Amino acid sequence: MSAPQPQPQSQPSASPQPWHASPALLVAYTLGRLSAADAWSAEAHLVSCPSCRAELGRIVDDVDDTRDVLALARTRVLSQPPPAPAAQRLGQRAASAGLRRAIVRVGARSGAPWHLRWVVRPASLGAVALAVAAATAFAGISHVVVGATNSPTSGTAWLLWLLAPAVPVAGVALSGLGAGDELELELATPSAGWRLVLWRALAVVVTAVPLALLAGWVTASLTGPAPPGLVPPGTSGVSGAWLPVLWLLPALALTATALALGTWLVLWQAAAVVGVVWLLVVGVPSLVLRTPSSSAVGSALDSSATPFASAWVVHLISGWAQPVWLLVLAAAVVVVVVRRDAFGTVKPSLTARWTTGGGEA
Amino acid sequence: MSEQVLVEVSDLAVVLGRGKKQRRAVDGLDLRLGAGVHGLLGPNGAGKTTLVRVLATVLPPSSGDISLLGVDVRDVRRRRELRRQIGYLPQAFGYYPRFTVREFVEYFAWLKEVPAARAGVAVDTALERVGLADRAGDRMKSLSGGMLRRAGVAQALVNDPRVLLLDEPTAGLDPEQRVAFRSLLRELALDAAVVVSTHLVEDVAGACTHVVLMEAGRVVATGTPAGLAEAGRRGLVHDGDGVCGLVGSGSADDGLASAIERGYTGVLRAARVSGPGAAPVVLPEPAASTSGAPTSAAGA
Repeated sequence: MSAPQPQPQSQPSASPQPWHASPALLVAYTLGRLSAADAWSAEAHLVSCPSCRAELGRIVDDVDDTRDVLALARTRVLSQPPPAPAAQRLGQRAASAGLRRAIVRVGARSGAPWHLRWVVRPASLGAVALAVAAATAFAGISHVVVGATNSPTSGTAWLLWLLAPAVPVAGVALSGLGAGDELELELATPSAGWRLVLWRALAVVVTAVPLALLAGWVTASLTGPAPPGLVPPGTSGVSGAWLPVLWLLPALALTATALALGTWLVLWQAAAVVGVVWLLVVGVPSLVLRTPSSSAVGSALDSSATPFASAWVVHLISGWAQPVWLLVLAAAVVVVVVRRDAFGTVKPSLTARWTTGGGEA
Repeated sequence: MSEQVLVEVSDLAVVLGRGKKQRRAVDGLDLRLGAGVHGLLGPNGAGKTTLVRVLATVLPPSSGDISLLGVDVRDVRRRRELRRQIGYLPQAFGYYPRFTVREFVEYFAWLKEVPAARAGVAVDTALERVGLADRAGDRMKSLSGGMLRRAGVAQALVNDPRVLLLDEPTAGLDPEQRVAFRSLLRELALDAAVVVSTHLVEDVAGACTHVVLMEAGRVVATGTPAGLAEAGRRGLVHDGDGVCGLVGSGSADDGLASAIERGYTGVLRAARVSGPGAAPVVLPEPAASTSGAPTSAAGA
């Protein structure tokens, strides 16, 4: 029943006996010798008739010309990568690959496709964002749980105030840390040195500072007018939401100090030193010199528990301290500019890993 | 082969560490290298890695002069221009684990200031040369040790360097890859000084046009693999002033690799006897050999 029938039938439509294309017809079709109308009807039949398709396959195999054409088509098809499933493509777009492509695309338009991509990618910006988010979450939770306002003079918000200026420094440390001894490879390249270091630090600062300011604005927007001690002279009645702007100069000054120190030390170690010193200067007096009421765990988070801590942070950041931070920033920038060439060679490491090359000479 | 001197080192000293741990990793080293594959041989602690790091401009010299391509490595103003022409593979190198192999090499093409118009082709060529073209899309963290090593070689090659410094490049490669790698080295060395620190005698026999033997931070002998093999076959005498003679007629049935190995140990022993004051030995060429052809002595 399913055997191919070589003789074409005269009534193809109503007949119980199925019509099949003749070998001569199929050969003519294969060689492209049928008229357009005949070729279309042959194709229409081939679509619905498996046995004629099988016959066509045998004929095609026998005709030399088509064999070559098919072989060529086959290799071309196989050499193209299979299209990714739609779901997979969507997933990729949603994930970091999409962001990367967007950056590359923006970069390509600006005529600097390489630059942005390679500066941003190893800079661990994700870690910076995470640090800011964690600090914000902490402040937010303390606000909800304790009911404290997020003004630095009360509650646990002083912790956010303590950490926020150091966030870009942490980012710089991470950007220099990367995968470990890749620095050895990077150092031997012409880009090594102050350009690369500063580009990366800039990427970190540009990410961290707005994020930190936004976090501060979000957590502080619930507070009322700024406490008197925080307000810079001559600007009374400033809303509490604007207080995190006070972070800007300390953050920049700490970052620049880390970079300045990085002309003598391995950069991530320099940043670590600055970060630790900052935490010691701000954190230790705050923790050690607490009022006696804070000794009980229950009252440790109470708004009355940390007046000294709050006051200390406030003193370090606001009012008279701002010009000092400006001076620190300026001094650090001068050091970086004067000693910029030192970024281009290996530094004595505090852990002595770099100077000895891992012990192997 | 060009006779131009590409690497010139005179009286180099490198002091590592501070205080009690201080030591002179390289001490009074002189070296002149032209185009070719220069095998840097020596026992552990001889100063090979330190020398390579100084040549790579990563580690500043404590004293002495180094000029690469006629540029003093301490000249900060010309450092950038110099580094564009250096390729460097350290013994151990880190990488950003989420980079793909291609991104890793692209990143170094960018760091080495390969013009953007040429970078794509340069990256493809480098990946093909080390046989990683089909793994270009894989993440660095998914590579095996040998593949990481080849990716490291690819980044060293990507800028077509005129001074190529490879510290133990064949470590972790399987025998087949090593053979391919040696022919790549010879190809690269046509107009570049390729310095290969290695402890594998087959590398020296198979790829090097010159050998530099180091011991205790200085060069104790220079020559060709054929010269080193000849010293191994016939035995070496020298009078401590760098004048070197061969004793005996040699056994012709010795293979090249084992002859080189015996030459290597013989030269080191002689260097230890004559002490640090002696001038480096210049290994005499075997009479029938053409200079610099590593395979010429193999059939002898």
